[in-house]
Amino acid sequence: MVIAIRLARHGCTNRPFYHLVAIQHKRARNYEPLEQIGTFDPMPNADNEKLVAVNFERLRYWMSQGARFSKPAARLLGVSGFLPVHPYSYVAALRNTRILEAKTQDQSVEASNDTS
Amino acid sequence: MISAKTCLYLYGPGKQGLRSPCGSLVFVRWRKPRWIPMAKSKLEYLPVKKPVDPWEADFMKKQMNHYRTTMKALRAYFACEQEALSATGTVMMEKARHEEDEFRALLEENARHNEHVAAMREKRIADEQEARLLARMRGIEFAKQRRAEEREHADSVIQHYQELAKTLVTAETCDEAIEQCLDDVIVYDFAIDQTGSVYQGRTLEVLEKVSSLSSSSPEVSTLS
Repeated sequence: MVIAIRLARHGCTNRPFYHLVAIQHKRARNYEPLEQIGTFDPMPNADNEKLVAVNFERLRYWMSQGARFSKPAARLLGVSGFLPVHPYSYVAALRNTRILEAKTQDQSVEASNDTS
Repeated sequence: MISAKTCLYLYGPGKQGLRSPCGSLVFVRWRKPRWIPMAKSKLEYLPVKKPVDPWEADFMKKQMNHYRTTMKALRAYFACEQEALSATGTVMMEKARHEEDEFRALLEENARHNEHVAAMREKRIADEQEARLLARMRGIEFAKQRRAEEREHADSVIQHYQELAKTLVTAETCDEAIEQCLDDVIVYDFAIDQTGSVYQGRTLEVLEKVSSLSSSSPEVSTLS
């Protein structure tokens, strides 16, 4: 049985909260996991932080058991610095920068139009 | 080929009332089964593929290969690490020692508890023995007392009857008793009124007469 390390969405409507779990990969999303390794709160708190807590010791153990990561989990842990950064993180970042640049360009064009 | 009408009746919950006026297929919730042919309106449909950025595709292909290799290496490294840990086992030894300590502590606790229980049991048994002895002693005492009382009672009864026995009529005293009876004549032929005064009947007179007669005539006396 392949062990997956993935995010299980807890919390409720409009308030996501994730558990980082080691679980048999065919189990349902919120099935009782083999072990809960950490938590991830994707909603920024008052200090604009998205809090992640991970038990890296246990993560090492589950990796030694051949656990596979889901893409979101791999991205999250890549950003944390424990794993190599996932390539898609770079792509997403590039896309985001492009969108941002486009926005700023639009704004600057609008501003120049307004002034002229 | 299954007609649209048949399909309607075969599939979908609440089979009645779901047919649309034009008689087309209505599937509630469930997907169309595999053997239902493509809808006429979709026969010409070609799904539009999302545009792929060539740079991104190339980048992802190269980087993912690299990423996968790194991850494999990491996994292998952690496996080695884990194996070393379990073999030399600072963690495992620590765990084993901890378990052993815990086990010993539990044993001690158990022994202490056993001692406590044993002391309690011994005390209880001793108390019970003492109580039994006391009860036995009390029983003996009670029995003694009772026997003494019975004896006393019996003695008193015997004494009573011995007293009575003195006045009994025996063969020797028979004549004497008869004489005495004849001498003491008691006549119950009388009446008493409310004030207590006695009114004698005539029996006494008769008796006196008889006695006087008997004393005067010798024939009568011999008869009596």
